[in-house]
Amino acid sequence: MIDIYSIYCVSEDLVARNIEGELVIVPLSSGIGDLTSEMYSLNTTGVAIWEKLDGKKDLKNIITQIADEYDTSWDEIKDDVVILITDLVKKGLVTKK
Amino acid sequence: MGEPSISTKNVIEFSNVSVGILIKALTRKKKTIRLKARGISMFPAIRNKDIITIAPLNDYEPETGDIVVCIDKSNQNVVIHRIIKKFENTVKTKGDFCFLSDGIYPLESVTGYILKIENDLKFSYFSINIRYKKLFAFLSRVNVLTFAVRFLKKIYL
Repeated sequence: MIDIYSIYCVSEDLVARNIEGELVIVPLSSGIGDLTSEMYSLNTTGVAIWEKLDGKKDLKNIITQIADEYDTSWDEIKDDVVILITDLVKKGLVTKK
Repeated sequence: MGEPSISTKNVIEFSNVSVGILIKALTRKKKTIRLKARGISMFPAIRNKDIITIAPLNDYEPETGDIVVCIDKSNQNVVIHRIIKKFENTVKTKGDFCFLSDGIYPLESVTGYILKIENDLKFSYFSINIRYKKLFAFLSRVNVLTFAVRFLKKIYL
């Protein structure tokens, strides 16, 4: 369950790089960057959220910021952020601080 | 603003340069890398699709005989070949299966070295073994390895 009043940050056990126009995320398992296993890629909207996960702002703040930047309703952004963060946490790419 | 999404990627989808970016990023973080090899330029030590383990250099100074990862500064291309000669600040690399060397790379271009090759060939193990790697470098440099392997490949494969 994602709590929007909590701070979430990008896991330290990964390497993320912009490659061929997308953000590619390589999870590190036991300190090894296994390029034979699955990696992940985020679309532009995903990247916009990912980049705000700085370990300082809670999700509520991030949602407000994105809603302002993209001139979209807060509730709509909240749903999108919660869905993405749920997925990222499940994959071990983001952790609750 | 569209819906955010996360998708899975496979390294096969990436160009050589993109693989180089990931290798560089991981070795900078001092992480070991597992990667599926592409091509036959290091045949038979590394065959196409063999899984190789790349170690970051950390304090290790690559030496003659090591199979290393070089990233060409001019075009960012990745080459995983053997050092056939080491100079003070540069290395000369060559694929064991190639007749010509790649030329000279500055030591800074070497981002990692091959620690392990996952296949069932004893040859691969010996070719990176500390006792024999200099011999393999010599055989590769004088093209004996190249001729012998190409000859045997023609007969048996």
